[in-house]
Amino acid sequence: MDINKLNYELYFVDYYEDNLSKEQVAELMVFLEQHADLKTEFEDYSELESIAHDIEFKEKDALKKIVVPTLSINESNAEEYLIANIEGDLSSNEQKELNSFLSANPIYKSDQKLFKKSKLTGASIVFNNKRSLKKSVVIPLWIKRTSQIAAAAAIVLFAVVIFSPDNIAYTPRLVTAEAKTISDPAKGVQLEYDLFEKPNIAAAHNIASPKKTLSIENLLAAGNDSELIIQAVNSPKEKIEAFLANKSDDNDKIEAPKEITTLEEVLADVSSITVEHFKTGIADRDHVSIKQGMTAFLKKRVLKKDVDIIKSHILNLELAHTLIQSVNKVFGTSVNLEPTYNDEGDMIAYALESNTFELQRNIKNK
Amino acid sequence: MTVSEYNKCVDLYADNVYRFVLKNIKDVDKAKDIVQDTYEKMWLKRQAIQAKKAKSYMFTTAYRTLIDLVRREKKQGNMDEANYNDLSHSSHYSDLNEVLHDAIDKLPADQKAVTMLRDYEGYSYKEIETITGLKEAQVKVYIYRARKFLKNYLGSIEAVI
Repeated sequence: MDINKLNYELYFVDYYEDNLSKEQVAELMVFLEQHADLKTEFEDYSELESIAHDIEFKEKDALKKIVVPTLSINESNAEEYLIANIEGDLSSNEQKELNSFLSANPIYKSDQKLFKKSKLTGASIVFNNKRSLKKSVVIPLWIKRTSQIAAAAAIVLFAVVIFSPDNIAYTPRLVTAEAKTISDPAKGVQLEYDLFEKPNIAAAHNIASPKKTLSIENLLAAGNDSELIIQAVNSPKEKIEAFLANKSDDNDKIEAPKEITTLEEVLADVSSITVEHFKTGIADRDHVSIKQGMTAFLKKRVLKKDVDIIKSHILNLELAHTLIQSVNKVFGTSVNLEPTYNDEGDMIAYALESNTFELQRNIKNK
Repeated sequence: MTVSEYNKCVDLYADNVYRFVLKNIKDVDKAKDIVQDTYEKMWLKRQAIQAKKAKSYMFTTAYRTLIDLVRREKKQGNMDEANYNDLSHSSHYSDLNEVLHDAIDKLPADQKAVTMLRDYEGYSYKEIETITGLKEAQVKVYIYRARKFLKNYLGSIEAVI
């Protein structure tokens, strides 16, 4: 078979695979002399078995020439044309040339049929155990652990922030005042308040707190930078406010205001009053704090509970509880916040507990 | 590649990879092992594989695995050495497909693989180059050689019949 531009690749491969006879090698060398442009490609074939590891000259494509069969179809290259035809490698002109050749040489039509038959057609082989190859969408254990640790860290962080001494100082206090009369010949009849503080944290959880007597000056001193909101149980609010406003400079002794005509009238009203002391009065504001907003959001959106943002006084402990419950719900964790109270109902410590860790922290009450 | 994309690749290409491997090594159990191994490798590297490149990656992996296996077991003798004169055949064929598959089995492993990639999967020479690591021209030569062998084999059968 003569070497030509349609079949030279076969010779190149055969040369490096030692499949050529001496005569064919000589023929190949003559061909290369006549087609110097193919020498680079010829040399390139020497690397057939070490393609992946050897250094490559990457611009080879730029050096190569497009192989366009310049010779007419003849007996020596007819098979290459027939193969090229079924592989779709022929241009339209080459196909026309091939058709003309086949018309003139019908003997090659049987070869053409055989080449067409050599094309493999789709087989009906199936892989039956596809299920064994598939992967289910599961969260890898390490991600689950990481998320749990992250959730726990978030809880601890929030708890530390919430229960820091500065924040504790701003927690609302619930104070109950009981009024009684004191007769003084010089000053007349006066009101004296015995104040009983019930820590709001304990109150929020309906924990009985022993009565704690506070002097009126402590209450008023604490309210120096605060706003007092007074809710009278049995008395008009205005009357109590009037008492406190008029007598704030007289610590323990509060005279009945002039507009209240009789002491008995006042006593009837203020035998039991409730005073709530906040840094700022939530009930009077038309906006909510970040703490309230966060608690309300978590309750509504995550825990699906109804909450009245304005009316409810959000305690830090409640925020912490809500936060932890929300994190548990979202991340599937089981972290609990366990407060510890003293005999007086003050929360003195809290503990974060889960299956994997336990953290205790004491609270320094001011 | 996401998990769903990976599972979609199982539905779309497991049959193709299995057919490609089974036709090459003629051993059902080993073919299944190679398919399992191929998908497991893809799963491990799924973060680095784009879904659209998955099929090519699987055929590349499967090809290398089966070529290693063939070389190791020397089932095909010397892969680089085609026995073009071996046109011996059974005379009990029932259809053309049987003849063709008998002929395909007689091809060297590389020729067989590239021909199957070409015919079954419709890959271009360039794509087969990527999958097999052979040069594009070499792929073309192997396919041309395989065609000639198959044509001669079919011709010899027709002559007998």
